[in-house]
Amino acid sequence: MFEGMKAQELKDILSAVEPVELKGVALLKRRHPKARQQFPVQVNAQALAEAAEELIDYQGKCEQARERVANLPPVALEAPIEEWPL
Amino acid sequence: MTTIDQLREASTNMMANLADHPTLSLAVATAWLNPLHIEHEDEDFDIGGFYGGWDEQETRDIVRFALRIASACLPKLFVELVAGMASGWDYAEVGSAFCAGVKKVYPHIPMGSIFDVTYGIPMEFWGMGWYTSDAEMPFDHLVELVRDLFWFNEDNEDPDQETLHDVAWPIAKALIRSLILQDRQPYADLALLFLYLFSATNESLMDLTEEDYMESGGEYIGWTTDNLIDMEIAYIHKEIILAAKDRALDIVDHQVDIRKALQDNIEIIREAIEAGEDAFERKDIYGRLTWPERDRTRCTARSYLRAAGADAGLLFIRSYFNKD
Repeated sequence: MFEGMKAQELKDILSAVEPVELKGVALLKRRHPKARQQFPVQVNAQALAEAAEELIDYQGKCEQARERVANLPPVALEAPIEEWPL
Repeated sequence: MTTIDQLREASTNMMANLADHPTLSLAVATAWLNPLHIEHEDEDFDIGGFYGGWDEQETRDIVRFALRIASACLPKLFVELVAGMASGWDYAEVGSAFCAGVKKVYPHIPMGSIFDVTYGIPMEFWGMGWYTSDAEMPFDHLVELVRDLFWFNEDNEDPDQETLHDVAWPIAKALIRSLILQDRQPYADLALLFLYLFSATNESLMDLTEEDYMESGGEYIGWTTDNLIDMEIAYIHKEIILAAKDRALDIVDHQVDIRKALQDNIEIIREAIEAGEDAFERKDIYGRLTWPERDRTRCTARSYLRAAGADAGLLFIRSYFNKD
């Protein structure tokens, strides 16, 4: 039964999460290391569209997660703080 | 190595290193594949310049606006546009792709060019303009038809539009109701013809001119998914009504028995009005109006949206005007 966790535990869990593999990032890595253009060129149109769609979808999910975290219910503080009423 | 070469090598190395960093590679990929995301955070961001630029600020603003529309309402189109821009599309290609993408999903909405986006979803008005403007082509012959059928004042053979409308409309209301009650073709088409002639279809695009619409407080229709769906249906209604109008005009011109029935029934209604009868409240007026027999053809479609031709006209009348 879950009885809560400390902040450091949560931090450790989040730090261990592997970066998501996105097609757009994979395409970036295929860019020739000596290429002068900032972004890859001559990329297959289908691959480009799939990468863009995946990235936009990922951004949407991140935004939803961010809103859920922002709307989490507050956690009641159990530690007594005698100075609080002052 | 020259200074320029050193700068180029530094830039190349930086991009290579960015691609290897988990967080920074995501940022670079976002900048590449979803520039609108960056624009939300930086209103001054030059989306056109980012991809190699177009010269006109107005062009960039329009393309930016079109991308926002696609992002909000047509996500697949948005992806297509972003991928196209990333592969080097110029303004004309982006514009063409945007218009084609909108028409692919909403084929009835008229999209002439990307410049159409700036004033909301395009609106084409087909109203007769009885009270706001003199009817112009292609409406002259329609005003003439109304005068031929409904005007009986021999002392004034050329009434102005407003007067003609005010005299004809009370008669037309009962006539339309009788036509609707026939619940078959070609009377549904005739009903739609008169509903259109007297700006009574309940469809803004068909009943109003642009001047009417603006003067009545109408505003441009914003680019939202709900509005796109509503406008697509409105344009379907427009096509059904105009097609019915054309069929009905052909009937009035060539089917002598129906034209005579129109004239006789208009005369009956007119006399009832002049005699002070409350013609529209008492249903017995409709018992006095007769129409030539026509076979009832069976409609297999259940909705006017899935029907064509005369069936669409009949089902449209049933959906919106004959719910009894």
